[in-house]
Amino acid sequence: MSLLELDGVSVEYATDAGPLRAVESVDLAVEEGEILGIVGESGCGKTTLTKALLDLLPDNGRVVEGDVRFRDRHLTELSTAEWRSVRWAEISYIIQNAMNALDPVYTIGSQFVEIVRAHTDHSKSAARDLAGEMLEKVGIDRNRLRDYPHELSGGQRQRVVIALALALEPPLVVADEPTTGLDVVTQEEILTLIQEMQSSTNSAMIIITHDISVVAEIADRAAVMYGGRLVEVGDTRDVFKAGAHPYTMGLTNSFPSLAEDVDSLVSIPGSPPDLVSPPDGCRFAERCPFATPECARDPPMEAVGERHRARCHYTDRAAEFRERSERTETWSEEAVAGTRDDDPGFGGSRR
Amino acid sequence: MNLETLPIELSQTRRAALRRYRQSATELFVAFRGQRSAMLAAGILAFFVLLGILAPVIAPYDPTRTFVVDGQAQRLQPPSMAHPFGTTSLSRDVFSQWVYGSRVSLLVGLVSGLAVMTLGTTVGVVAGYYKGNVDLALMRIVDTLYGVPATPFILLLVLFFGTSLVNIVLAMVLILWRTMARVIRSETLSLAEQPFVKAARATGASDRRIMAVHILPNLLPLIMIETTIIIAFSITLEAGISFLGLGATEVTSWGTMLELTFSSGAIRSAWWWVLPPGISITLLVLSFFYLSRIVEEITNPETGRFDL
Amino acid sequence: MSRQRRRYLLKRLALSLFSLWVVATFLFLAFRLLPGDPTTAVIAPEMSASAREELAAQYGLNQPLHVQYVLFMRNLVTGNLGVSFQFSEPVSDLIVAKLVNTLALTATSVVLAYTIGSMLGAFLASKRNTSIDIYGTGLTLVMYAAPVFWTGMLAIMLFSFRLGWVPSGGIHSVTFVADSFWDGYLSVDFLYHLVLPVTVTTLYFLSVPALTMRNNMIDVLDQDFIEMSRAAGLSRFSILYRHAARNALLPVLHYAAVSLGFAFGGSVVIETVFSWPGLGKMMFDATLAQDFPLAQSTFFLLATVIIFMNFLADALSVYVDPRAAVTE
Repeated sequence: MSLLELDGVSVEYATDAGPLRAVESVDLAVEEGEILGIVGESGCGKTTLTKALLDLLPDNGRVVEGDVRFRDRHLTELSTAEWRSVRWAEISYIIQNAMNALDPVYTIGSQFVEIVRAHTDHSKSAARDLAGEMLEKVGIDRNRLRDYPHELSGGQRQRVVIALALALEPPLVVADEPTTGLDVVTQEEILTLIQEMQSSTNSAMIIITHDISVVAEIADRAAVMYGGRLVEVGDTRDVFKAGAHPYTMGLTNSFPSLAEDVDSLVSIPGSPPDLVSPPDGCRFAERCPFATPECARDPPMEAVGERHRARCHYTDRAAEFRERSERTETWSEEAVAGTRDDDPGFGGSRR
Repeated sequence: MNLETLPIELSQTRRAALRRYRQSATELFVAFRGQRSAMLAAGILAFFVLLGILAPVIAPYDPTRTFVVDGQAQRLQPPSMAHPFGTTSLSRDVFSQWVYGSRVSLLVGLVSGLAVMTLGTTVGVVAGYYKGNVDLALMRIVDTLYGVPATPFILLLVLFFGTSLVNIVLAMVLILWRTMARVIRSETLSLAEQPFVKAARATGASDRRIMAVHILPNLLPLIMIETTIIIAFSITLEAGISFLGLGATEVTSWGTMLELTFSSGAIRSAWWWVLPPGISITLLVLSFFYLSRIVEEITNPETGRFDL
Repeated sequence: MSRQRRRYLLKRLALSLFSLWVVATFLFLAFRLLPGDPTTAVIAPEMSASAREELAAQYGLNQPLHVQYVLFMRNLVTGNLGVSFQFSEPVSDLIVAKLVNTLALTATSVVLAYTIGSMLGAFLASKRNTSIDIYGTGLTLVMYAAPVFWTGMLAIMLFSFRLGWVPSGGIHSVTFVADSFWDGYLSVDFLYHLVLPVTVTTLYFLSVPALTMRNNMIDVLDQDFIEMSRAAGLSRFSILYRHAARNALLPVLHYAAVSLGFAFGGSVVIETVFSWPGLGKMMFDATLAQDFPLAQSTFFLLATVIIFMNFLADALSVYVDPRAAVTE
């Protein structure tokens, strides 16, 4: 049995313009000890999904469909008090902008101790010892427990938050954009740190990011989201080397590799759909160079390989699409606009 | 290539600045109309403005006229058909005094507000933009003003120079401009660091042009917020000064009405004389407070949506 | 860290003293440059010729202006504030007596206002957008918009004249006799007279902390570290009061000190309504009576309190917020 299972989860926000369906019928599972990376551009619903599973949605958001199961508990049915027993000890969360995650008017030590003691029976000194240990594990001198957050650099604060998240060795850690906003060198350090800490506690991890290189580097499995839907999920290697969804192909091709020669970059024209009135059928069709009139019908999730599935009508032609998607012309605006009415066999430029 | 020597570029820049001013103001106006509390506050304000303008028409009597009926002076009469708000201890009609009193409060409020706005903004922008010694000198003046007790200072000035309306307004402006200057200076300091100002300087724009064309339009929301608050405070301040007996002698303001009510001991019974001036001061001040909060909510780029 | 703080505080202290000096100079010039006989600033018209000459020599009134100025400043600093025209007593004695009265009223009110106001603000923020919040905020604004002397009058009308619960003014009843200076203040009679003025003043002054606290709380509750504490499963009470309120309180504390100074300045009006024999009322009466030694000294004392309070506010904010000294 998986550690965490999301079953047909849909999340809606109540807005002035009407209900906004930020997440639509997502099925996802996370196993013990594995790292799952959720990728997608801003607005694709990845942060909403994680907040929904953690019961941290704002007042106007709620899970309207589906179930979230963690071990033997149904998270969507827990009361606030019951959630408190799950938080941190079972599931911890590294928020986006972790650099600002600490209260500026309390010392690092007192905040650490407060959180630890909220979930354990540790005495103050025991909690403080734990805090000191954890800080050293992330490479920070334990004397800094006496400092205030603003006395540490951004990178150091990030490490403190990571230390906090893993302090109680929870079976699941959720990290939202853990490396965004950091310079490349620090990013690398943080990623290495995350990997080390995770393997020592054997926690499962969900990493949300828009940077697929992060996922490619440390995640065991990758999930791609677009327009509120899960469009592809599988082992990282499968998803990025043998992607079966056109969006995944566009993503992987828009990241230049140092190894290959690159003449020009691929970029996906257009913008994500409006989630207040989403289009019928495949949400990516508008920007997809391989779309056909068939795509007006909602595509089902098709199995593509072992533990690898994608939401497309044409998963059987994935290899062909992959080859074509490497060329810039495939993604030109005219090509994308033109192909919607053509048979994908003659797709590409009309010229 | 000097912008100043190209007549076409010059007027384009000016046009751009005007467009930006108008854009700020229009956005404000459009958002304003959609809010209920905003319309209520505006309604109250309009009511008093009309009251002031149409005073001679609305007030049934001359406010200084005394009433004698059957040889009896009509002192401290409760409300009646003849006198809807009753009479004062000097046999005068309260309602008429109250109607005319709106003129004083509004006039004092608006004039003080405008004067403070001009003085405070000028000093604030200059101090915030030039920084250095100019800033130091100007802010020492402002800091010292902050140390001066407001009401006693105004008292002293009015006592020395006379209790005319002009003197009262001048004295109030001298005290009130300090907050405006500080707030505007603070905002100018951060605006002056923005890339668009540096870009303007790089293309050779003069300091005055930058201040007028680039910084000032961005200050507009803040200026409006502060000015409405200043107007609210000046109305209260004037009422307080009048209450102490130093009000303008040539007109009867709401504060002056309350002064007589208090000093004649009429508060023992004459509720009809005590309530109206106080209620109207409160309402008028409230409407300005609400106006400022509305402007603040609307121009806040984060919320955009108004909720009080 | 503390060297930074110390330097900052010293700088602000120097600036405060500078402001004080400017105020003193202003007073000097204002009273000397009065139209009319410049000697009336310190000498009562009723004095005999010989007494006048003596005082004139002492104050150097026959000397050129800059000499007078030095003498004036020296007198001010040494506490030689002259003799009151109205009461023929040393000004310093009179001031001290009234200072206690004003302090009793303003300090009590401001402390109460800020304590109750902050809690009210935090409470309103936690009930944001409900009808409690909307009406509560509206009511608070009304309390601030209504002139304090008018609410005082209304309170006297209702609680004093109509209901007879409390006296209508003064600090003691006519029949009250105090055994000593302090007994006068620690008596029930004094408290009885203090209740109404303090209540009215407190209600007026609590608007600013309540609204500021509410706004700050709303801003703070949107911040990332609050989301973190929710994710970390801290209790609602802990999040609201230990974390959010503590952060929101800092600017409010700064205002508290400033408000005390402000209340001192506004004491004229409040003391007039309640016939409270304090500094404000004394200054007002002295100015009207042209008792210049008394008027100018009282003014100077008020300014000193305000400037000192502003300085205290800066000092407080540096100590309470670990980040404040760094930004200056």
